[in-house]
Amino acid sequence: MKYLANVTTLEYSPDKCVGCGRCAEVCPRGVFVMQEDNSTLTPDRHIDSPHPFPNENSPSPLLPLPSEGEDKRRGGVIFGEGQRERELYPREGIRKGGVRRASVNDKDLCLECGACALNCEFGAIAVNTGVGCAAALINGMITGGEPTCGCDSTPGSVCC
Amino acid sequence: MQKLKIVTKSQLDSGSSCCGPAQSTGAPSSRDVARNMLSCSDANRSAPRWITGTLPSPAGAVPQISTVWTRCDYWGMIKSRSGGYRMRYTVAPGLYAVGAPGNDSDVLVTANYKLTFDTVRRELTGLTAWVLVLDTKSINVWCAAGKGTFSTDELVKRITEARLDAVVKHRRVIVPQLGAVGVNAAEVMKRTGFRVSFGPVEARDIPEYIRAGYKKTKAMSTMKFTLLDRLVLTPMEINPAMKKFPWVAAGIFLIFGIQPTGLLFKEAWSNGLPFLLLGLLSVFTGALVTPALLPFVPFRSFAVKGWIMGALSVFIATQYIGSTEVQNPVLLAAAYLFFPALSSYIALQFTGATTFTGMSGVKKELKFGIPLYIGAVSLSLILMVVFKLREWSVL
Repeated sequence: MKYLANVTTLEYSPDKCVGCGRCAEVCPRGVFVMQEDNSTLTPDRHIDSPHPFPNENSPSPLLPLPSEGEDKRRGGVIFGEGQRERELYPREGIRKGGVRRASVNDKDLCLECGACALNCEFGAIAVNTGVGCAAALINGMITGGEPTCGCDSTPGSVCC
Repeated sequence: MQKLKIVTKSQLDSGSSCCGPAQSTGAPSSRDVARNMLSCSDANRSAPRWITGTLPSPAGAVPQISTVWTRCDYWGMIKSRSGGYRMRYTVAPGLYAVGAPGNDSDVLVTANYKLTFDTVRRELTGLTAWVLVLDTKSINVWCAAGKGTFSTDELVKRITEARLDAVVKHRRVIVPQLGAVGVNAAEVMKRTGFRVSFGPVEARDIPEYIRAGYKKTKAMSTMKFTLLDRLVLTPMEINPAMKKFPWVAAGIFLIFGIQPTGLLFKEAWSNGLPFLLLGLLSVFTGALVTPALLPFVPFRSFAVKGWIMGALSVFIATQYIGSTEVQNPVLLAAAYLFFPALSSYIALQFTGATTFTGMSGVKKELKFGIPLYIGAVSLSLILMVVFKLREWSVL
């Protein structure tokens, strides 16, 4: 089931993505999918990023660590062995091929829960989060405050 | 007199903590014991009945929990699904053991809403694991994460207080995926050294997720919203709507009963009854039928879905109600304006219970919906006035 089209406030900047896969891991609606992107190589990205290998010590369940002899696939970048690459990217090792990163599968599936934005360490995702609950929004309109369902610790209150 | 006051006050006290453990003084009579057995109260027990023992750990004794539901767990589920009891249906936060876990066993994080906790422990049948319960104020993982009680701070606090670093030698915790709305995995890692893996959405997929080496399929990581999921949520839609229904009923009887000579109860009852039934039908159409048939009702907007079903139910009902009042064109027009709008409004409330509506969408619905509701209700009231004036031969 899908809700209204073209209303979500989800914004995704692929150029900030390092391919850690957290967004795909947390999204309960399957908005994000991890893809091999061969078209746009943006080498500076990983050198400038404050945290170039988010998964080196902590592999994401979506990104298994390579076994010996395989291409080293760290932090979303596939590294190769060539001399030229070694000169170009001394810190990272050498890249070969494309970049693994998140792409938006279907924006209209988004329910603006905010799990992806909260768990994206690289600031690639922004979304205006809030409760998708009519009662809460009407409450907010009447009281002029934040939309709440009145669920707090008040016993007997109706929760949405 | 003084004594009477004390008794009244203690009664009030136990009333305010309704259904909580009653403070008993002295030895319980056999009647009290029998009542406790029936009421599922844990008041005269040293521990809740789902605790089966304790397990020593480097961080102290940890309560061991049963993975089997008793009659009381089912009864608690029914009570918490239907009303305010849910706000008191809670377990103490902290670390629990399923089976006899060791220092390499998995740690599963959950909320302290007892129904959530019960669902998790039931699904862990045959497994050994640690269960870390966060204090979410008796609210499920998804809602608590949205409200900020299932949070990074709370998880860090519970990991620290349970001395998890002493209990297990690995450094990973499995947090339910829906908790990701409130838990920042990178920050938990920074503050505790524990790496968060977001597990499956549903507790029933936990064994499969663990067996697959902490990998989840797409089905495990997306929220479903089945007919059963929707139906169990409808009592919480019907209850609040029915609480307001006496006002609608009073309005209907007032309109039909009022005459130049005063209020006529016979007229109010006989002429108002068909409309009262339409009102009841509209409430159930909005709160039960529309949620149940949600995927099959056309359009994505809940307001439109509710309106369509409301109009349909008024159409069908008026075919069977033979009363002359219902067949009156002015009243029929008023009914078509008012009742589908009522169903629509109630159906819109269900957005709060779904797993796929976002705030921007609901805001958009309200922006268009509220003026239309006000318009429809005003117009139907005007039509009622026209009807009354005609009835009194003024027009």
